[in-house]
Parts: sequence; structure tokens; C-alpha cells
Amino acid sequence: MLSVSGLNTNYRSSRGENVRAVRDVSFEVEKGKFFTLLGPSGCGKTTTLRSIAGLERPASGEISVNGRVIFSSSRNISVALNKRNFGMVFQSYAIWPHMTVFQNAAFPLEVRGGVAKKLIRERVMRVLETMGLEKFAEREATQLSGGQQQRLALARAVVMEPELLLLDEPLSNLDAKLRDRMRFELKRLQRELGLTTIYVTHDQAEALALSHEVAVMNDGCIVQIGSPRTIYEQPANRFVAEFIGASNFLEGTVVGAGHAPALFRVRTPLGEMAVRSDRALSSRDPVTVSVRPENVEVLEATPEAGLNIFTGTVEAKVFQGDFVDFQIRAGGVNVMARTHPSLRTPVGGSVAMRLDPEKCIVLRAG
Amino acid sequence: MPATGNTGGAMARSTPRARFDAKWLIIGGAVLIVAWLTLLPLIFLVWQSFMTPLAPDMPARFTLANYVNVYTSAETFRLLSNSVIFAGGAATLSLLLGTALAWMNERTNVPFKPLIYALSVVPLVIPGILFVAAWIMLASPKIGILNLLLQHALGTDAVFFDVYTLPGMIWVDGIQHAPIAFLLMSAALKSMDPSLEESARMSGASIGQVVWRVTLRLAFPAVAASFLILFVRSIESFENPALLGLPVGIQVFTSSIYEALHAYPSDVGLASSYAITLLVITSGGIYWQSRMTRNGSRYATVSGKGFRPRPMDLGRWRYAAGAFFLLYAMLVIGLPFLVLVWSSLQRFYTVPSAEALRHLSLTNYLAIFHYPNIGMAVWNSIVLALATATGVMLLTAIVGWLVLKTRIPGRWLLDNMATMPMVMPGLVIGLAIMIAYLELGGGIYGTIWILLIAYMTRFMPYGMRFNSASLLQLHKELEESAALSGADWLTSFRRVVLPLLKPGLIAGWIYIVIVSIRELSSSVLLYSPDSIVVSVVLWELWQNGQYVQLSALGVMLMLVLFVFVLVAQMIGRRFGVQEV
Repeated sequence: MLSVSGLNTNYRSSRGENVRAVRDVSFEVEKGKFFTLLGPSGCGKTTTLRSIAGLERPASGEISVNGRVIFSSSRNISVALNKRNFGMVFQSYAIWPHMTVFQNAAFPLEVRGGVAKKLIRERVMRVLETMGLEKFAEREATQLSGGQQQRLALARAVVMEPELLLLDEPLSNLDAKLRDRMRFELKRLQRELGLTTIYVTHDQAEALALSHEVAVMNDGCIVQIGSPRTIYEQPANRFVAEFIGASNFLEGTVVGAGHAPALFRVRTPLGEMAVRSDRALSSRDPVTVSVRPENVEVLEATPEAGLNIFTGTVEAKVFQGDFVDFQIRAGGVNVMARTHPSLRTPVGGSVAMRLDPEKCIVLRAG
Repeated sequence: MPATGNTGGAMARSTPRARFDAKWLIIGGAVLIVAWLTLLPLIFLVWQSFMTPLAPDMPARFTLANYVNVYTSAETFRLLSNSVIFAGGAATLSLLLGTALAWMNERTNVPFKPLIYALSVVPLVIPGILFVAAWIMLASPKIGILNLLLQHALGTDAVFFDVYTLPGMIWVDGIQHAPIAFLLMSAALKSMDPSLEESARMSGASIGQVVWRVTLRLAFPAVAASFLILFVRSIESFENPALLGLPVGIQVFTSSIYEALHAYPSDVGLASSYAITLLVITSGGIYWQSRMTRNGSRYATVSGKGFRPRPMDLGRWRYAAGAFFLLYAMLVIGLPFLVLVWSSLQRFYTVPSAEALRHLSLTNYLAIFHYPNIGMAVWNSIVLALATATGVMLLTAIVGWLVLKTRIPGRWLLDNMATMPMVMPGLVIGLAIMIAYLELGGGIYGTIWILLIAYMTRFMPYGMRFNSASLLQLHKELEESAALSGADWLTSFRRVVLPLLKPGLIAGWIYIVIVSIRELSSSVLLYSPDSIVVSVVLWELWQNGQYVQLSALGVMLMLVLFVFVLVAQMIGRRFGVQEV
């Protein structure tokens, strides 16, 4: 299990300014779990990962793995990075071009010493087999394709059975098709090997697909930690809702308590609507309501009764193959809806839409 | 017009005579000048090596005697082995030092890093002859300060250092060229994807294991290429073998060429055969180096997001490494400069002591101003430096553009011609030009013009290097849109290409001004009393044994050059010029 608390890492920018890249970051990852740091570029996710790896020296904080403290500013502990026993896959894979595939994968066992040659061979071949690279063992590493290099980098990172596997955007250099395939591979391997894994990415789809838990970062801080489903369905604020998937944002004011314990009534440009909130809201609070396009149900006929039903006109639509995106004008605002391609209302036609109150999320300010 | 089809093609068609306007005059002129500068001397050099010496009473005749003499003499093999040992030793020493310094500076938390700036700039402004002279004052067996101090301290009369030996020559040349090795290896380390080393660290390797098993292996093509460059530089060097080798009879090719010319009667044919042999060696070295560099791209790796690697913590070795840094700075800059300052303040060359301290005077500085021809020498040096730098940069801007931006047939030949002087040692260029203009006549020999021709030939490759670097970054579309806007070739070259090349032009100009002022090995064969230059004055002062005046002139020259570099860089930075 990995525990990071109160981590702060600074670096000096090329202009000589002191940049606080990571600010008071704390989180815990249970043994065998896949944990993702997700955020836009420059949010501090890679610096956090490199601080754990020992490639950056944090200004303050404490990091421990399976009860062993590897960094603590207060106790002045910093385990040398080559003694941490972590495996890492770099964005560029960092495959050594002057070695063969086998030599690349055997390197971590060789430099540690204490492992017999025969045993090294056995263990390396076993890992290469897991990655489907056993046929290429004697090949020059530079002759591998992008996907193969990526798997070799992974093989090298896991061959020494690390306590922690660190992955720094390992899929970002692959083309889209290969990336989708490697995503499954990576998930299968991680679950099979049961390695505690920290994964850094700016791709929300990757984060949601792979992780047990996701931490969304912005501006050096963790904004929200939760399971992929929680992050997606109940974003903590506008940043998370915007960064992960598309969303409609409706500004409004609270009118009063709603029908269910967690439902409130909010006045928005669309009209009065029922929304979900886990925290208590009082009357006249200004709020932002977030609704995902796939949670906007578009109907050709207005239903007799029900919650959150509004009418509008189709402003524009975009056919995407497996779905159609509608832009619906209602109450002076545009609402994006993602619908089944069977819906064929023309542009300018009037439609009704139903917003499931459970999926209308009230965001905290900021 | 496949060559420059995009530039003013439409205009050329509407006015047929415009085709032969300034554009072709300038391009044709540039090509002719390059051919004139490089091919002509080379042809005469080869011709001379097959000819008997020109004498008033006898016309030159074809002969193989020069080569027969050279290749059947045991002397030549001693020469060859001396040259190879000297150049190989010096290249090895400078490469070891330069690589260690580059690695410490790029990859570790060694203290005193700002010193590196001085280490890469200051040696540029110390002319070779002054560096060697300074080391004679430091480590000659009789008057070397280091020897005398150690003898005094230990109470013996043993000789600790002797620069007048092959190892001594290697030592002086090696530390003199280490800054070049440092620059070459720094560039190689900078271009290496840092995650290659970080991943080795993450795999559990210690710093030593990373250096040995990853960094050095990956840098191998760069190391080998740098070795060849340094080898060629050392085998070409003239001041060092002339000052340290000649007095004790340790001959290398350059000093033998010089001796053959200055013997009585001078033997131009023999010198030419030596020169051709030397040319073959240097061409081989540079050819091999360029192949090595091309093959090295096999190791080129896509870099990640350009994380500057966090310097490795050297732990308790940090201060040992810092001490090495300081020691090296002392050896290349501190001691040579101090000993020159010291001797420049003495009436007669003396070892530092309390007694000598009382006799400090500025007499030598005043004496320099009364040295015959000194005003002429300073004026000539300045005029030559400015003219060479301006001429070379403009010429190579056009040539570089032709080579890189057009498809004219034979542009590879033009490229090779313009960069060929790279393999020609200064002494060989001097010799070849001397022969060419003695044969051709025309009154150029013995004037300042012949020096200008020699300097332009010698430094043309530097101009090519600076201009190609910026031309490679210049998109074709920029010129094409100028042409589409209605500009003819001359206008678009003057208003679009040249301004965009400006940073490279300025940086190259500064560099060529400095190396022109330092130039000795060509000048020493070509000067006359009317065309004397400052570096030759230094040479004469040394020959006359006027060490203290030499020091005074040297100190002034170094200070002027240093101020020039600082000012030039300050101005240059405003134009976005990279440091020279």
C-alpha cells in the first residue's frame, strides 16, 4: 500500500521562478489497486509521480510504501531512487537502443546483483512471454514496433517484481487503434500480476477504463478522488465535470427543498427543475447544475406529466454514426443532447426533453 | 529554371533579359569565389609537390623526387609516429577531461557550475601561442615556475615538469583543446533522452552503473566522432610543436613543413609533399567522423516531454568533483593568465618572489607601443578580422542557401568545396596560397590581400556551419510567399532570408572575428613587413626571446578580445543570438 501525505514539490522554471508544481497532495492506494492521476498538462500529475519515483525531490511531505518510509521531510529520510524497488514506464518508453530486447529486460536484475545468471534468464523469459515478446528476445530493441517497445518497457518495469508500478502516460505515443488494444492488455496484466499501480494520464477515457480509483488534479492540487463512476456521475465541481466528458451547465438559484430527501428545486433559464445534491442547500443559493448530454432524453412528443420536462427547438444536429448530437434551444440557452440515431427531427423542429433529476448534479462553486 | 523556379519566375518570363540580372551575377560570383578560394591553392599545392623548386636560373621540372624523398626516409616514419602519438595523446586527454566536465555539468549537482561559462568562452580568447608560451613559463625545466616552486619547497633540484617532451606537448595541447571536447560532449549529452538514464536508475542501477552501462554506451558515436575532430585539430596544431617540439628536435608534420620552408635553401617541394600527406590524414579523419555521425543517428531516440533531468546527487563526491572543476579552471585559465600578467610586469623574466615583487613595472606595456610596426599590425589585424568575418558570412549565406534551398545540379560539390578547408591545416593553406600566388603573380603576394584570401579560405567552413544551422530552420514557404507577393530574388533574399538568418550571421561573425585575430599558422607564411598582424608580432617577440614584452602584448590582446566577446554577446542576446 502506498501512502502520500502533504506532498509539496517545487521546481525552478526556465525563467528562474519557483513554481509550486505539487501542492499539499495526499492520497492512499491499497495494495494491488490501479490508481490514476488525471489532469490537463501542467497540473502536477507527472511531478507527483516523479516525486514518488525519487526523480524529483519534494520540498515537504511524507511517502511510504507497505509501511516503509521512502521519503519524509520531517524525519529527513530520502531513500535513493535505485533502492526504492519501483518499476517505471516512461512516456518515451526509454528503451535502451544499444541493447537487445533480452538485455533491456534483464538490466534491472543484473544491476541489482545477487541473482544467478540462469535464474535471470528464466525470469526474463517468463516476463517476455507474458508480454508476447519471447520471439524477439535476441533482436535489437530498436527493431521493435511502437507497441512492442511499449510492452518491453512494461516487461522491464515488472521483471524485478516491484513494490509499486509507475506508469507515465505510457499509451500516449501509440496510434489510436493500438492504444485501445493496449488499454485492455494493461488492465489484464495489472489485474493478473496484482501490482499496486500509479498511472498518469491526461486522457479521461483511459483513466475511467483502467482504474480502481481516480484522482483528478488541477493546478498542483487534487480536486477529487473517487471511483471512475463517482468521478463521472458526481463531479465535485465544474472543472471535473468539464474535464471528464462533455456537460451542460445551467446557472440557477435554489428555490426550495424538492420531493425526495436529496432532491432540491432550482430555478434555471429552462424553468424550475428538480436536481440532486448530497449536501444541504438553502433557498436563494446560486448554483450550477451539470447534466451530461446522454442524460438529456429527447422526445418527439411532449409527455403528459413528469419531472424536468422542457420544450425547445432543434438548433443544430451532428450525425456521428452510432449516435446523433442535438443542440436544442430552450429558455434562451443551448442544451446538448446525445440521442439514438433513430431520432430524425429536422433542424428547426420542436422537441421535448426530459432531464432525469438523479442525473442533474449540483456543483460546488469553483 | 529548376534551380530557383519559385523566385521571380513569372517576371523573368515577361522580361527575358531579367533572367540575367543581379541574381545570376551574385550566385555565379559566389560559386566562382568558393572555387577560386579552395580549388586553386589545392591544385597548385599538388602541382608543386610533383615539381622541382622554382629557382632563378632553372625552370621547374616534373619530378617524383619529393615523394620518393619523403616516403623512403626513416625520418618520415618518425614524423608520422610522433604526429600520431602527439595528436592521439592530446585527443585522448582532452576527450577524457571534456567528457568528465560535460557529464558533471549536465548530469550532477557539482558546485561552481557558473565557472563552466568561463571555461567555454575564455579559452576562445587565448591565442594558441600565448597558451603555449604561458605553459613554458610554468613548466619548462629551467625557468618553469611550478618546477622552481617545488624545488624550493622540497629543497631538491629535481625537475618535476618538462614541457619540452612528447608527454609535455600532449599535456599542453590536451588541456588547451579540452573546452572543445567539453562543448561537443555537452551537446551530445543534452540531445540524449534523459529518461534513458532515469529508467536505468529506476531499475536499481547506481550512478556508476548508469554512466558505464547506459550513458557512455549511448554516447559512443559522439565520443568517437569527437575524438576524430580533436585528433585532426591536434595534428593540425602548429604553435605547440613549433614552440615545444622544435627546440628539442621532436618533429611532427606541421613543424617539419615550417622547417622545410625556413631552411636555407627552402624546400617548397618537400614541404608540399609533407602537406599532401598531412592532408590525406586529416581528410581521412574528417571523412570517418562524418560517417560516424551519420551512423550515430541509429541511436537517436524520440524524446519524451523534455523534462530537464534532475541532477544526480554525488553525495560526498560532490566536493571532490568541485575541486576537479576548480583545478581544471586553474590549469586552463587561471595559471596561464596569471603567469602572463606576472611576467608582463617584470623587466626581465623572473620567478615570483618578494624581491621580484618590488620590481613590478609597466615598462613592457609602454615598450609595446614603440615596437616597430605595432600600429600597422593592430590596424591590419582589425581590418582583416572585420573583412574576413563579413565576407565569409555573406558568401556562405549565399552558398548555404544554394546548397540547402535549391535543387541546382552539383550543389553537393559546392557544399564540399565550401567545407573542404576544414581538413586543411592553417599551415597547409598558407603554403598552398603562397605557391599559387607566387606562380600566378599579379602583385597579390606580400600584400594584405593574400592574408584576406587565406583567412577567408580557412574560415569559410565555420561560416557554412553557422549559416546552414539557421537555413535548415528556415521554411521554404517564407521565401515562396515573398515571391508570390511580387518580390524578385534579390529583394526576397535581402528582405526575408538575410534578416531571418541574422542570429546565425551575427554569432558566426563574432566567432570569425575572434579566430581571425588569433590566426597564426597561415599568417606566419604569408606576412610581409607591410602586412604584419598582431599574432605574427607575438610570434616574432617569442623568436627574439622578448618574453616579457610578449606577455604584455598578450595580456592586452586577451583583455580586448574578452571585452569584445562580452559586448558582442550582450548585443547579440538582444537579437536572440545563441552564445558562440
